[in-house]
Amino acid sequence: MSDFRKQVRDHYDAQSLPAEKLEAILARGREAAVEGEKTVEFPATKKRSWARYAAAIAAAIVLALGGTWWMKRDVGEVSLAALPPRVIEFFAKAPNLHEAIQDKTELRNWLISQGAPADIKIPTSLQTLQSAACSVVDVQGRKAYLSCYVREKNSAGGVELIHLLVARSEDFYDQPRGREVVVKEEDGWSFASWTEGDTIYTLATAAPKEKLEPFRPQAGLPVEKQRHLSGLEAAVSGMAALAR
Amino acid sequence: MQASRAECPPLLLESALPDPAPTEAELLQSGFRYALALTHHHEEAEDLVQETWLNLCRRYGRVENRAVLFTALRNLYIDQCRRRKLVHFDSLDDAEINEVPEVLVDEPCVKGEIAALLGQLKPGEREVIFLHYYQGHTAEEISQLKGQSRGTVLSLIHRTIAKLRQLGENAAGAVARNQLLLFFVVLISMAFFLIP
Repeated sequence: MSDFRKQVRDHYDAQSLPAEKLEAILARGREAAVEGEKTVEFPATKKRSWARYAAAIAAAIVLALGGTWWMKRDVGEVSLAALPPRVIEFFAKAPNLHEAIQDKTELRNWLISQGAPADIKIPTSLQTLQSAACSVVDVQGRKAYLSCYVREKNSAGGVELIHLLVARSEDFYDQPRGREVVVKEEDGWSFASWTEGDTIYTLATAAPKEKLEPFRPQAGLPVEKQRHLSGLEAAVSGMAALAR
Repeated sequence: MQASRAECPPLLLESALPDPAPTEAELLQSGFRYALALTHHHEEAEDLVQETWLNLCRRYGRVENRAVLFTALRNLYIDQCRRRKLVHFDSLDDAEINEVPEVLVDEPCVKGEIAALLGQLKPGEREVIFLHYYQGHTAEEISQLKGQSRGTVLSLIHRTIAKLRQLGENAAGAVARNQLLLFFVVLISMAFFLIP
């Protein structure tokens, strides 16, 4: 201990409250504690817990990953608008198609085996039509599963086809929502698209859009009530479900 | 009054205390010594520690620990100084703190009678001497109590030690001058007696 420190220590050690004064203050303090106007708790001691920081960081990471997942889930990398020109191009180049499968259950299984969503349904209005071919169409790296049906036979002995293309909604953006059926005409072709669950259905035919009318969902095609929710809608409905 | 009131009890002070649960009497005595360091006046320190103690008992029902007592005591002292319009504390915000060494001097080489030297210091200076050399707190802990930066506290300690050293040398020089003067007086007196 340095000399100066010892001097300071000796100086203050020598200073103390007289015993009577000390007892008197303590006694008055006890009385004041009992008769105090108000007694409040000491402010809580701040505890710097690393676990809280770690939990906050983990929560931020989870939120970021969740947000990324939602964005990836809801927004595909390819616009559905790329499908019609690709279909036209596909049929313009004499495609190599798989032979027709007339049994619709077997056809559905074949599509699923090629990678189509497991919950796909061939619309009722197409079930009775004769199958013409099936294939898988590459749309800018994303897959659309194609099945062709004979819509009608023309006077020249040829056949008019109607095509069903099935795709995963996660692979495309700009897809129609729920019951909405988007009809589009392009280069003499007509397209009608709608969404059921996580699957996008597109009917296509090389004819005016009126030719699609009998096969569209409004004309009897079943559209499940389940709506494909956007990220925000899903979050809101999820919170509402939690609240319930 | 440039000194700032501490808003909450410093946490590090408690961790440095040798006894985590001192008795009420020990708390009160240490509070009195801290009050004495601030006021350098026995009766004033008694009144200050008594008022602080009663305030805390009235408000919280007890005195939680030394850090709470010191903080409340310091705040009350600053309030009293403001009411009396006394200005004891110097602002060190503009002080040159870059040249302050990290390690405090252990051997300040202060000469002279310590009580007299402390009496010539300002309250803020006595306070840091008390907290550092008597209570054994580090500059970081003192900075929490005073609500100042660590560099400012280090600067204050160094300046205070330098001031004490200067005061001690001045006091020692005065004693030597007085002794020399006394020697001459005695010499002249003897000469008067011895010379017929």
